[in-house]
Amino acid sequence: MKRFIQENSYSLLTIIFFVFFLEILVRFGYISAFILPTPSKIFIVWWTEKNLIFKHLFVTSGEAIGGFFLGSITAIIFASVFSRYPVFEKAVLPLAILFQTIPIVVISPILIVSFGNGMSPKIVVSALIAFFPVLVNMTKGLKEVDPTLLDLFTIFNADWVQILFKLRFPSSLPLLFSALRIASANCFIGAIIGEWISADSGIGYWILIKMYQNKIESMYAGVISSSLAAMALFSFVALTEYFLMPWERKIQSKGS
Amino acid sequence: MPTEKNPFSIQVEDLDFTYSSPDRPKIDALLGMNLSVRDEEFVSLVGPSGCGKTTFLKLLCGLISPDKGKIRIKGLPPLEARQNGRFSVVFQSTALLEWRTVEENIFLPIELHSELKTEHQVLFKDLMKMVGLEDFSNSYPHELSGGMQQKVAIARSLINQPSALFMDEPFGALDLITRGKLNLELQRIWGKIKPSVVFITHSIREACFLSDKIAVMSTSPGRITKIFDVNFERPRSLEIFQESDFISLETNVSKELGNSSIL
Repeated sequence: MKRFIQENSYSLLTIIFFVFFLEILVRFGYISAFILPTPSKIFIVWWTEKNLIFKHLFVTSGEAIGGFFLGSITAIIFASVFSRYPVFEKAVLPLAILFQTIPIVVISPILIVSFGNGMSPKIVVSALIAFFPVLVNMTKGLKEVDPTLLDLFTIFNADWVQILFKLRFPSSLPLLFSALRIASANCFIGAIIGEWISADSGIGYWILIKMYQNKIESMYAGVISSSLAAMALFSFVALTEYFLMPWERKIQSKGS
Repeated sequence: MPTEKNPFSIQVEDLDFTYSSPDRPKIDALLGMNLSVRDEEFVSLVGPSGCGKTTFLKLLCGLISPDKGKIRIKGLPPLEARQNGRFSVVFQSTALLEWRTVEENIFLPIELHSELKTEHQVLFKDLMKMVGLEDFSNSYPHELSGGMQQKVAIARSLINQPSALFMDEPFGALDLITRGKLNLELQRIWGKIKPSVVFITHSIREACFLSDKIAVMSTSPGRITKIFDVNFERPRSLEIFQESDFISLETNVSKELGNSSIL
């Protein structure tokens, strides 16, 4: 934990400096307060409206986190099936890649039509965003196992379930987690895009409404809150990785 | 479990194996290969690169099946012998699981094959003592040196008490000094447990030092051209390298190797 703080103190300092710099730019009129309110003003507005913002943020976080787990768990199951039955990979993976080329903004209205106006279409949008990187990385990770280790497991008479859980899963963890990091950062995008298309709550809805109402401070407060929430999910993934892979931790500490 | 009267632990008769793929010419990896290894015998295979040593080892393990010929390990064909846990392997790349501690790595064969019993726990302690890694059972492989990792792999190969042990250039990636030390240790461990060993190596000296028999192989097709008996008394020490008998054996083996390989 001490090292974690040490390593992140530089970027924290950068943020503080940047915020301070913006404050000065706006105060002295280099940037119009209509375009960018001073950070201090944003904070004050955020503080006064925090209950409402949290309410909306809670909805969005639910959608994004729900989508994150739904998408990544489905992807892990798909990848496991691919590794057992390669014919499914041939049948499904190209379609998944094709599907991925459809912009998410185009899919969202379809989902809203099919799933209604509540949280579920946004969860599905987030899940779709999380699904793809996890599917591709996990498929690769489960497949590209050291052939010597596969021979070893075969010689020790392991069946495919043992090979999957004791060999393929652990050796694909690094790839899985790099995909989960991407997915965790992106699934908030899915939820917010869903809210922009149609919603009556959520931080995306809040940001849009405040933009129309020309309440720029509130809008900024919403933007910052949502990115903080995304960062929290990202950190959760990073921490899980840290605790789930103690051997990697030791490799890294040996390196530094 | 030597139930049969058969004194041979490993028997290989008239083994043929050809690599064939549609877009390449056929390669006779092994042709008419014969080899018998007695119980508690240590046999080394030396030969030039590409003579089919690794192919032979894969055939022994039942990872691939021969075009012709017979393999018996303790009287059983490789697949059955594998199901009964009769043999074990050590690879050049240590093939340790980096996410498992030394202890978890060593118990892997047990975990995959049967239940962990107290006898395994006892054997584990003995093995750790034998390889001198008592203090490292909770370390991860990358925290150990290359030589120590290979010792873990050797301990892992012995935990299920195999009657035959196949080693594919286990010390090939190590420096000479570590290699010498590990040769001594392998001799000591083998002397205590005495599985039959098929030891593949590039080093003639290593083969002469460790073996009861040295089988020299030739390339294309791969087969055994000559078998040398090694009768030095055990335990052997590294001083043996200076003895004239040892040196002449080394010379003879390398001559045979020189004749058999087409350069």
